[in-house]
Amino acid sequence: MKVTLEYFGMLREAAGLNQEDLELPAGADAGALVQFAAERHGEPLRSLLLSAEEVPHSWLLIAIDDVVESHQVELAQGSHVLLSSPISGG
Amino acid sequence: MCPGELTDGDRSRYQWQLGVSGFGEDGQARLKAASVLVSRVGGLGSAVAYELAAAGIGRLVLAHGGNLRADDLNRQLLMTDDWIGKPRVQCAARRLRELNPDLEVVAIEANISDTNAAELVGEVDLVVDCAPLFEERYAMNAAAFSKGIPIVECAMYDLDLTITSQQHGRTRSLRELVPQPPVHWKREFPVFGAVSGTVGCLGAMEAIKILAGFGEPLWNRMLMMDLRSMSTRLVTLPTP
Repeated sequence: MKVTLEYFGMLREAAGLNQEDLELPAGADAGALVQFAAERHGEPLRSLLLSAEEVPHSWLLIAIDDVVESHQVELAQGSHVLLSSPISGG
Repeated sequence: MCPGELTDGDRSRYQWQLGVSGFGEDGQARLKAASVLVSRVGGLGSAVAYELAAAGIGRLVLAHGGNLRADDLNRQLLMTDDWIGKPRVQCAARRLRELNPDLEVVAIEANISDTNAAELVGEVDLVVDCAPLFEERYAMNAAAFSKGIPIVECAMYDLDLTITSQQHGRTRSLRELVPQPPVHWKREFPVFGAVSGTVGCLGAMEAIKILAGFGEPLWNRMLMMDLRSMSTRLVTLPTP
């Protein structure tokens, strides 16, 4: 299935692009998408997405079709997924 | 005169906003009676405080430690070049009093911490979080939740910004959304003053809406803007 992955903030900078269309196995969840993106782009994006245990960071914001969800939520054909790591003021 | 009661001088000063749909004299009186904590008053907080002062908030508590540096001046619009080396928060207070002599300003020469958060948050009606460090934000957010006070959470990086509003019983807290500080976050990050000014104005508008009781604040929603492409997303956050 095809999904669109959009990066926000530091993740956009690390990925070097705004968004990309990716092909994932049917039934893949958001965590699998994060893993896929980490493998595809490597560092520095990888360490911004995944913890030392190779799971998505607890602070990672994952919005599927504009609704923030856990990384265990299953994606659907055509899903739009926005990934962001928290930013702050100053 | 009751707190918040408008004078003829108030009606004259704020006539351009008194006609805003859903606001009116009742909304203006609420702003006049309100007290807001802004922490800090850097690029983001300067814009928040300036807009709130202009809008007629009765009392602003500003918390920001340290002295002004030259590299603050690309974004900290309440600062002036002749103030370099002196306490930032005092410069901010001076500029705000110049803008609005009716405003009561309390300048605290310290950043928010676990030590002072409860006391400072306890004396206001709303908090606008403009702080760069997550430890500082957690302390402020926890104190606001403990007292049931609304808090507007503003953030920025490069040409991106986010803003959401939170309150105990109505939304999740900052700690629930961001369980631990991101290890890669750094105190200094790339940003233009126009970006901090944009999110600061949005933060001030959120505060005005919440205090005056009109419009639709960003409860359980986060506005995410990319000023590089001028694209926006309004995402729904998990509820408590």
